[in-house]
Amino acid sequence: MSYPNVSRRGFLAGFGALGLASALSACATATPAKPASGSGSTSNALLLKSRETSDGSRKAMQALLDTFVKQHPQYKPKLNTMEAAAFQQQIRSDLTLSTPPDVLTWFAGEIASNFAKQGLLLDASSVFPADGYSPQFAQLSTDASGKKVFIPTNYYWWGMFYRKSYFDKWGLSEPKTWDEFIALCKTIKGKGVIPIALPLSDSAWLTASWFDYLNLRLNGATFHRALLAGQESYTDPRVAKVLDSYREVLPYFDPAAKGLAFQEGTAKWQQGKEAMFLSGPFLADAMPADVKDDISFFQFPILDPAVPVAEEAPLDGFIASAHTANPEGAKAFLGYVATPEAQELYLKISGNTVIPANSNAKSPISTPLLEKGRAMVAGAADVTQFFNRDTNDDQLNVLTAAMVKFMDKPDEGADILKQWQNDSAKARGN
Amino acid sequence: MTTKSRTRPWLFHGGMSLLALLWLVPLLLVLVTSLRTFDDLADRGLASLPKALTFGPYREALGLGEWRSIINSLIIAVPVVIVSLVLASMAAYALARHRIPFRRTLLLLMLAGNLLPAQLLLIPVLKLTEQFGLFDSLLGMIVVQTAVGLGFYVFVLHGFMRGIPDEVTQAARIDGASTFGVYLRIVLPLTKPAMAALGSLAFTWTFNDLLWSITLLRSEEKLPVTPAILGMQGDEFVSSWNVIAAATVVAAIPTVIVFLRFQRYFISGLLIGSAK
Repeated sequence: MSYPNVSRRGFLAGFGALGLASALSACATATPAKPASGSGSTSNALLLKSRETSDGSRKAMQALLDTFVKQHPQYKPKLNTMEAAAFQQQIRSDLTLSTPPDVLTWFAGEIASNFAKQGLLLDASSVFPADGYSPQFAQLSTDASGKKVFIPTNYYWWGMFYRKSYFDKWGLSEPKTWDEFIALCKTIKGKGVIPIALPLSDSAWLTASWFDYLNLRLNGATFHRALLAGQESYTDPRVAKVLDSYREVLPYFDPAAKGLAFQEGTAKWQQGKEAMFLSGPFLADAMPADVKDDISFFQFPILDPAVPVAEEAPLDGFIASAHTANPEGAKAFLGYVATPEAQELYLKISGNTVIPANSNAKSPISTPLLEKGRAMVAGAADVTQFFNRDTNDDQLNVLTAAMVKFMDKPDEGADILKQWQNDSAKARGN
Repeated sequence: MTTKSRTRPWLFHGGMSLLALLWLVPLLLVLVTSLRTFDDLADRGLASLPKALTFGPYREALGLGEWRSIINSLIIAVPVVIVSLVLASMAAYALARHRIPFRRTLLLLMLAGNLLPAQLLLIPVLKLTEQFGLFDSLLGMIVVQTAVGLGFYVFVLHGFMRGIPDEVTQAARIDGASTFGVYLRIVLPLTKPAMAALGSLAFTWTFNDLLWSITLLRSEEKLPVTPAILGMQGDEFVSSWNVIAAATVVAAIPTVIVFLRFQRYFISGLLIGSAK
């Protein structure tokens, strides 16, 4: 017989040796890549992790790194792009890795200061420019202990987006107040067109935009922040008022809303089957070129003229990890992206409809849409970020559940608010 | 022949064709979407007739580095399948044919491991791979994917090997075969159908995995094909469905090839033991 003459013991020993060898080699290959973590170590590698996957944004990020390295040739920057949802899932573990990405794209608001509270963000106070950022933006970049942990680069706005040609065709004009808005919805519905788009099947978070705006318009930004921070209760009669107004617009949403994906919603809106879309300018960025010029928006209607007008102006920017092996490089990069030149460069290459955060920077591609947005935010008495940026994703999930349930059962507002307060407190407790 | 017996096959085939069509509609939709331009899709919606067909999305998907990610997927999936099958068949043979103490406990433990949702293991495994220096490496993915699947493969092969008549292995013993000889020359050839079926399953699972790869990998150039397709969406809010569809079609090719190649084993695997 000619079977391989291997005894059991010999075989096991051989296999064990193989396993050991592979484990050892893994260690050997991994060790040099692993710097002695924490401060004190010197590495000149600079890893930028970005969540912006579109072609233009990738190129813009790469251009930022290329220009940065020209000014600081001692660093070796590298771009790593991850899809936005995966990025958000990974960032929590990323910031606690022993070899974290050095600089990351992120959002301003509670979502950033929460990381700062856990000591995960690098103190960037030394590179935060003294001039250029509005007090509000500077405040949003500061953590509880007064350190600057976030560098804002650009922001956008929310509004009621519509297509000018369709509004002209239907003979409509922009409403200013809530009553005008409801009357407008009625007129549009009378023409056999769905007044408001709200695609929820894959983007139920859009309900948060309605909650935020109704609450801001009825109760003001101070109450809104206190409510989101858990200092006020969702069972408060002021929140019940928000749902009352929400109930008024329910008949004007697309009846198929819950079955529509975001993309299907934007397609219907683009085709004029839905007239208005409470959204950010990213809606326009995805449209074909000939449609882009036809897009405009109006400010979310005023419900109570006595309440100071607040707008949602989500602020994007960069953070650096506290555990970075290259704190000097990370700070230098943060300092660079705060400059007007860097912000203009990013906007020019990415082509995104966003406004530079540094007020000394000009928009390289200025459109009427962009200027209208800039003027609206500049005229606002206060700005908020967006529900989940002002709190966190757990609170957003609670909101989404409540808002969607209310759309099904608009008569059970009181019960829904009670449940909302319960779930919100529970989510905060964890 | 009565009329009834003549209409029945027609009814059967008609019904089955209808069902088959229902199964194929989503696939066709993906295929058609992958051949349309983005503006056409945005303008007329997903459920419309295409204006024109183009290979543009495929060019775009492959231009965004899909080849590299498919190769990464193969670098992960092929070793995982081979190592899993070798280890699982050995373990299953030992558990099925030898009086190892606690063999039933071991088997139950392996099965119990499969009942844990993967989400529960994500963070501990991430920390472990970091300590072993396997984080963000393809080797780490291979080790983890093998470990995660092993319990199930052992369980299936164990059941299959118990079905092999004892007399066959005993006869080999009498002829002087060692334990390993019996495994290599008797048990393995007889388990081939089950191994082939499991192998193609393991390949599909590993190749299509998303959760572990976005947990354990970070560098863009190391990403396998599933997260790479996610990154092709184009924008945070609006995705280029046509490019994603094209990328998905390309990414499905390896698994389809594996299934076509091992299809006959599925059938023979199902028939084993039926002719006793």
